[in-house]
Amino acid sequence: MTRYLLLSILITALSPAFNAQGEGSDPDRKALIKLCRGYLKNARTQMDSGNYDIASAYLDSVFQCDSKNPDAFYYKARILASLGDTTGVIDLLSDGVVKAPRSSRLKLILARYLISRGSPNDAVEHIDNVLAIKPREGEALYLKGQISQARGDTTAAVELYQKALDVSLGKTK
Amino acid sequence: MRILEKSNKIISLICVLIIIGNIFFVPSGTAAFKYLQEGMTAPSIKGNDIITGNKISSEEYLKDNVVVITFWATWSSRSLQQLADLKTLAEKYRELPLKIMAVNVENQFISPVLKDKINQTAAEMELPFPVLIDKGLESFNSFGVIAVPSTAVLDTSGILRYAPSGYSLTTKDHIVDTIEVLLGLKKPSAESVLVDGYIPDSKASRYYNLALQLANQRMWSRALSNLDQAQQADSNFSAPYNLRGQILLETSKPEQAISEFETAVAMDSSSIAARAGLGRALLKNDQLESAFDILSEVLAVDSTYTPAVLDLAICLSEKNDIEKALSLLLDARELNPMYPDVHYYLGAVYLKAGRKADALDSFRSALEILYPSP
Repeated sequence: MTRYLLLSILITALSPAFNAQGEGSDPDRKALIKLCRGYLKNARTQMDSGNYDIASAYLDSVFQCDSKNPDAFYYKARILASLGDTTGVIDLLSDGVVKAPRSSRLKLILARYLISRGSPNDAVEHIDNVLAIKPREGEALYLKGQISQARGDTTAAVELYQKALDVSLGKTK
Repeated sequence: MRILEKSNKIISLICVLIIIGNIFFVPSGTAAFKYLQEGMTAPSIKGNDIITGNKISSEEYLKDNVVVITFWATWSSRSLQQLADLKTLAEKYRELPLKIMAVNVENQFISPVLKDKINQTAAEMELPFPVLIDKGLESFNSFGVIAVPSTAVLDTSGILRYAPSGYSLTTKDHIVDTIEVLLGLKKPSAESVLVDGYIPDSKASRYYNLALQLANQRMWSRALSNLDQAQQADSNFSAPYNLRGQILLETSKPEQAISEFETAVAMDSSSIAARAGLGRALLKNDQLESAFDILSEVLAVDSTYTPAVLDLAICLSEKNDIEKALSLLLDARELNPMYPDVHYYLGAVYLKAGRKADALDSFRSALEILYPSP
């Protein structure tokens, strides 16, 4: 934990974005995006090696550059999930879908966790939001099918699953 | 009526052959890969050994060695049996130029939990050869793996010499026999499955492999243009016709695909992939009877060729022979449980049979493969 804190402070302190914002200047947007991507890439590399503390510190730096970055929410949620912190995942993603409302991926992952927690009614809104924009989104149809199945409506579940597979596998029949 | 009885007998015979084939033997004419046949050079495989962390490249690995590449998964008990046998083999021939590489094809998406499981399996087995994870199933797709496990035995020039799918009682013997022949420890016998195959021009091979990569990225027109180049470089090379057929099928042009597969079959009648491709193209073009005949022929030669098992099941379902379609689909699921199409059609046939609960389970299995839990 101490390692994580030290690293987090170090990355943030060295971040030009942090310094620039601290001085009240207007940082170059392109440079900021590039910086963000670099942090994200480092976070992914660290995650792949199982170094979640370091990955988490990099993701915190991404939030310093861009507090609405959907990828940072996604990876941070994955880290929390790997640590078994389901409540933390749901809280983080709930914040993520508000800050990055255009991210279908965040909405669908949040819906998945809500369903597995036994709160399908809370998940419906997020799934419907995705389907309103992308009516042929296979994963959203699948999750909606799961909710129907959990509610005992097998006819609707079969229809939704089949539709999800038709669009995902490119079946015409 | 007589025709119907004859047809039923043929179907029953195929089902029995498949069951026997799965349990007891794999006929010599097996094909593990859709896009790679004996005589061709294998596509490159790169990755990090999950045990040592070292970078591994199949090209470096291949140099002057007989190479065995196995595509395996922790969910496949036959894979684990094969890994144990390969470990014994690697230890027996450790002084000889034999290299083994295990490529894990667990799933398209490898979660941290899954990665731990793969690492743990490899560590517990103390495998004396590199184990790579096939990220995004890139190698799985470029080889066109049709069942797990599938094995590629390459000679010292990197040419594919034997490619069995599945792991039956005799596959192990055939693999050992092929390796020993390639290592020069013995001469090929009458039972040997070592296949010389057609060795295409190297330029044609390069164009073909590039086309394969492009096709896997769904860059169809660029893939087709590389196939043209491959065909110009070597007009006797049949694999480009097969891949062209597959691309035409993917782009919903079954009629043109039929013509490509027919050419591939005419050039190499032993190519199971081309014959199975022809069967699928006929099925997609609603030529049910012709598809049924050719797919039955394919399965009589190689009962483990999952795409043909699946397509024959679809034929039977179209003919309303639900019971036999289900039996074949269950076989296909056993052969390749990570193939979502198998679960999809199994669900569709269960639905046709009025078994809604089973349909629900099958559809859900297909969707879980496509959209695994994060």
